[in-house]
Amino acid sequence: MNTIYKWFLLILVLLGFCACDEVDEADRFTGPVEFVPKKNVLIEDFTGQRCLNCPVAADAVHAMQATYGADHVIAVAIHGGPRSLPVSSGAGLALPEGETYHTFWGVSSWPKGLVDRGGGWSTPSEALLEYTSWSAAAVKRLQKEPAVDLTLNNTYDAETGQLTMQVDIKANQAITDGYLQVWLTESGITAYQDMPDGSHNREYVHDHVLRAIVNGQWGEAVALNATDDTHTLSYTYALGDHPTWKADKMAVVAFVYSKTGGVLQVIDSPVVQ
Amino acid sequence: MKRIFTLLSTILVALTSYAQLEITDEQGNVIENGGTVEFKAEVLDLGGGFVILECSPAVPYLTNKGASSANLTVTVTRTEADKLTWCGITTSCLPMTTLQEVRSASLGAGQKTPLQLHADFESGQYATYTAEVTARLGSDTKSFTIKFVYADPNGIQSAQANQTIRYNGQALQYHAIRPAILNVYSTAGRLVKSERINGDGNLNLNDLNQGVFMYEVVSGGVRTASGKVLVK
Repeated sequence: MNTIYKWFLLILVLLGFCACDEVDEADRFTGPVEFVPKKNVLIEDFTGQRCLNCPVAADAVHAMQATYGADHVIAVAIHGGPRSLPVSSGAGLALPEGETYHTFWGVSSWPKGLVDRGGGWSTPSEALLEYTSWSAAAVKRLQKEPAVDLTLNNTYDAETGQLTMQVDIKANQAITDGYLQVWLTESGITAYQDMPDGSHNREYVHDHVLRAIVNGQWGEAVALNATDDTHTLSYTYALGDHPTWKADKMAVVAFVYSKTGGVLQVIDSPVVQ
Repeated sequence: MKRIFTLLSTILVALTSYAQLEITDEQGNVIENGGTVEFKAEVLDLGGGFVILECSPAVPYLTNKGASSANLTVTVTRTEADKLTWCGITTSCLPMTTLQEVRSASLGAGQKTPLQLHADFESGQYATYTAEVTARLGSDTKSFTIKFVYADPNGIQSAQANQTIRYNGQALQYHAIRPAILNVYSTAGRLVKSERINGDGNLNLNDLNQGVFMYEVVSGGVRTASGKVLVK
């Protein structure tokens, strides 16, 4: 049977060559279209330490950052749900605020994610995407003109453990339903993770983990009523209250979002400059 | 030429629609149609006294041994007491909220995919969860049973999906999800204790002489659990 099958296949292949068109060298497809990102994109990766497939989603994020630049693809891993371990256990990375995000966005399977919060949403769960769709969604958002410009300046005093942040917002168009959200993330965290092959990795390196929310669960409203309107907001955070956090592995993530436009712009900056 | 091409294509499609499904364990041993595979829960200490229960095997693996891609459809059926999360076949880990769930994906020639069905045991609630799995690849269908066992390390326990019984050295601790009767017999067959149970509780065995005793749980006239305990 195998031999007969191989002969049929060979004959079909030969017949197939008879049907090829000749394409001029100048008209041939040479690969993906390149572009220069016009805005940054926020990936909110809903994940868990007991979710076997979640490391694959994390790898997908790293691949996107390698392709488009980590300054353009800004990722935050938000642990929560039944496949996560609570931070209160001492071994976990899931914040109560992270659980709130999981619930609000309707995350019921893992991994799932948001790319710029879907560019806007009418119901929260419609913005959720499987990780296999994140790259295509990010490419679209990277090419959009940003509705706001953001700059972020951090000052960290290692002696006092005090972090000071200043976010400057400039509107490129009128935005009446905008919110500014500021988070702290940490990378390089060695902690338990279930792996796709069923093994238990106690030395898995977790990156971009949501560690704290600086300005409230959903941020604060910023009214930008006209083009060129500006806002400056300043915050402080006592990193010294968290001795297990490594300041040199941490970053501030700031983004402006709206329900109608999703994440309008996002920026991050290391805590230690 | 066109007719020959059409004929050859038709024959090729007929040949390649035959897919061959193989199901294997971690060591690559084939799990036969109708077979059973068992996984035991393990307790992992993550430090600081925080422990988690893990029963999350990647296996069994489902492999397409055929010469071309085919659609793989997997059906998992559980009982109400079995708390399972399914992570395989598609890309999502999803707690099973229905008694039966079906997942499908394309499986390339020679490609294998893990089932990734997991038991969500609760600490201290010893039990056995059972799932019936049917996998269809093209025209090839195979079924097997998976048992997830969370055993009491301190006593001789009988595996049962609907109740859990644990001997803590003084009493039989029970967790019954429906009304039942817990009977305890001597090895001579004499009924020494009997108690109606429902929910969580303890049946004290401290007043019994030392020795081996048998217990059973009867619900609706049907024995649903049994085992032995050694009273010291």
